[in-house]
Amino acid sequence: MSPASANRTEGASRAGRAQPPGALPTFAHQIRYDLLSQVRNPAAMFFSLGLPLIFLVTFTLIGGDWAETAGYYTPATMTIAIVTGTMTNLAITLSYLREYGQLKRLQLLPVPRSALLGSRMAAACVLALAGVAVVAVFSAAVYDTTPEQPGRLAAAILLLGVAGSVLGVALTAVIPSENAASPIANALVLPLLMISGGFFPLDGAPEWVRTVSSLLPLEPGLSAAVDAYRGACSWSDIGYAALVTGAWTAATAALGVRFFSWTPRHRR
Amino acid sequence: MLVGMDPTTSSPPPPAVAAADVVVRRGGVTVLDGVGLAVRPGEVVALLGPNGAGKTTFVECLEGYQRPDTGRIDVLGRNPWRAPAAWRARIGAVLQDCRIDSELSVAEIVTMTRGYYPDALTTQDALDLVGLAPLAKRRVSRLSGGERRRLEIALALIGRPDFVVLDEPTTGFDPEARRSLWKVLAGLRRAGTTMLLTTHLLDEVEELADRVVLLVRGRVHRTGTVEELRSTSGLPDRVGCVAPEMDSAPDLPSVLESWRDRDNGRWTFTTNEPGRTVQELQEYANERRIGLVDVTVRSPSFEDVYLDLLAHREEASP
Repeated sequence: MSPASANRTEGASRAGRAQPPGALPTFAHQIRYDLLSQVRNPAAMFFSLGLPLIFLVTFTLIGGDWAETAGYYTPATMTIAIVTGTMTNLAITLSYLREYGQLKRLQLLPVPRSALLGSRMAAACVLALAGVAVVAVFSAAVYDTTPEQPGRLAAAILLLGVAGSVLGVALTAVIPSENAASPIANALVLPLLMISGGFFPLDGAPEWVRTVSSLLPLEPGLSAAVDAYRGACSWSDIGYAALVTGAWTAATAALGVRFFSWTPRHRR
Repeated sequence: MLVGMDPTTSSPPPPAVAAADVVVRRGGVTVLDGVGLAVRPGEVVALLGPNGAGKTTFVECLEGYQRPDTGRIDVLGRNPWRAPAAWRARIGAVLQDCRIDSELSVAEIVTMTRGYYPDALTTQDALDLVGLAPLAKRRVSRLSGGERRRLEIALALIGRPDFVVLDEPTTGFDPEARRSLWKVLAGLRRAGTTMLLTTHLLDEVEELADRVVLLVRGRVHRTGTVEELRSTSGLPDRVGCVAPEMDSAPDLPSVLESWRDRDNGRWTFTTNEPGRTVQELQEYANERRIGLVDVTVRSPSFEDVYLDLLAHREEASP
């Protein structure tokens, strides 16, 4: 350690120094580092890029008729990728950062915390979208399956990305420790995906199950994505998905603002 | 009670930290019970106390993490609770319960952090400051505990803060790294940075602190410089020696207490007149042809003083 460097911390009256950066410059500065962190994290890369592909190949193999099965499972797997890449990823990583005092440290920085959290959410979303792109390219190359309505597919996926990010941040409020983060996040996200048709179509499910499912945050977006691949998605379907998912997102965001914690639940 | 203010000084500079009658209650327990403290600009104050004394709670009030139930706190002229971003740019903190972890490299995380401040050190200067320049390209996730702590110190100092809170900063440091950090902090003190230090390492306090504040059960129990606390403690000096042929404690007039260490056989004599005790001991040994080896005289250590203050907290506490 260098005492000479300590002298460089001297300054004239530092009370009159310039203002720290605002929200937008902070976000622009931060997102590069958050993306870099995500890309260098082997677990994040596997769950965002590798696992959806494994799901797609497995489901398609089991389904038999590749072309037809891929027509359903490509958008379904895209949904799994975007939801786990945002909701599960954020719930686990933010809980870890909170319990190790790193979120607490952010509170003392002179920049808007919302920009730092927004950057983290955006980075997770970007990586998850990369996972979606990998699934799309793989499906086009191997199963010759491409979306009939790419614009509506993109809208449905983006909707799920935003919802997943907000739900993931809010979910940290009920996660008591970093060890509990993965079990709690997966115990919630996987059944939610299942009942929304992420792992198998709901065509044969009882009517009440489909009714309940259509009111949950993921199913309308997932259905819209599947229909967009077949060319059967109307903008009103996207509107309905936006309404249901948006309502869940708004309600969860309100809860998140109220209950999100920047400080560890347990002292170390 | 407000300690540290000198009412006889004419128009003193405003304190960097001024806390008065701070009370914090959590879950029915009074964690801080009327704490007052004033820290002059450029002063280094060590906040000491046993576990559960309220040190971290008080520090968190100064940092703006916690809001006192009653009382007043000003740090650099602002109430830390909901203080603006420009105020936070003047604060640096090494938190006790933070363990930094990242897949970024050391240089990347320092560069990232310096982007938050308007008047930051360069990345190279920050790394030089804590001796991490050789590890600049190493991932943070691959640093040892002590290296991570050094990185946290670099991040705390990168904004060139006017007030630094160091909550047990040398946890995980080897002796060499500790002494290096002491030099860095001494440099900051010379540069006029105000610092509040909490630690259980009392040699660190002796080395760094201009003043000590002892917190016990949420109250300021004692305050003063290390020397003031030592000189007012009333603890006797200690004379020690090794005398293998001396089987029982000699009856020396100037000695208050004596005992022999069972493990190493070393004799210790407490006394208020160490010179006279050494002389009496020498005469005693000469008369009986006993050999004395390794005769030492030492004042009570600050650890002795600290433990004595804690031992007498019951009778001194109001």
